[in-house]
Amino acid sequence: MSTEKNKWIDAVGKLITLTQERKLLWHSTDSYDNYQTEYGGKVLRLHWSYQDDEKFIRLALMDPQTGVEWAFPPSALNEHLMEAVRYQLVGVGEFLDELLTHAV
Amino acid sequence: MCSPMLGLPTFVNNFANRETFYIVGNIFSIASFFLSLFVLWNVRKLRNVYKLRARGPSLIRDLSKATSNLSKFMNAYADFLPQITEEIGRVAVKLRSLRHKLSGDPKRSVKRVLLFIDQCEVSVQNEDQVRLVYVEIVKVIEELKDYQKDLDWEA
Repeated sequence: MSTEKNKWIDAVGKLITLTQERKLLWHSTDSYDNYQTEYGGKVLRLHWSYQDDEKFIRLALMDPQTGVEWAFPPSALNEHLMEAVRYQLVGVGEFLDELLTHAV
Repeated sequence: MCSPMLGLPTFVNNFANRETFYIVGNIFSIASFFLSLFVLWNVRKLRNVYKLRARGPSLIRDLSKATSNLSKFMNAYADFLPQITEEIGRVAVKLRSLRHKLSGDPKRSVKRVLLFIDQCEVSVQNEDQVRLVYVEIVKVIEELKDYQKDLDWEA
């Protein structure tokens, strides 16, 4: 596989790690699966998109000054990132801790 | 020595003797040996391509599922160490199965990831290494998906 593609996968892998370690905090921008965060002076947007009748998760980097957006090449990691973001926003970890520690 | 054949041009007579036939025969034997090796190599390659076309998609699907699970477990890494070990083990089994059906670059990539997996011990201290292995697994799956698409074109 091309080194270039590997670089994007490494980058999204790093975003997943930062999200799971809560060093990158996401917020929901509307009611359904549209998420956003800021990193290194840029805005990262994660949402579902359609192309050629195919539904996929789009991860895009946006310049907040100009509003110009650039999308990462699609990969399975985008789905994993979406899962990690949902896990963070729903507070699954805290819920499990609460449930398993305090519930009678 | 063969006696020169009558009625044939001189240059034909020069070549049409037993020694020349021995030499030509030897050359053809050696050439056919290499041709057999080439055919065997191609048959082996075709057999592997057939196996990959038959089993590849389901193995790649299983691998994708396992990495998706791995990713979910890594949301709370320290709490899911046994599950992470299990998923990585599952990935290694699938990759070993795929390795025998591959050749060239994808085979090298699978071997490299298997080496990473074999050297990786899942423990609290090794979280960074496990995350690295996870990303490497995803890379190899993406490569295998591309390879599978190329095979579809070749058929």
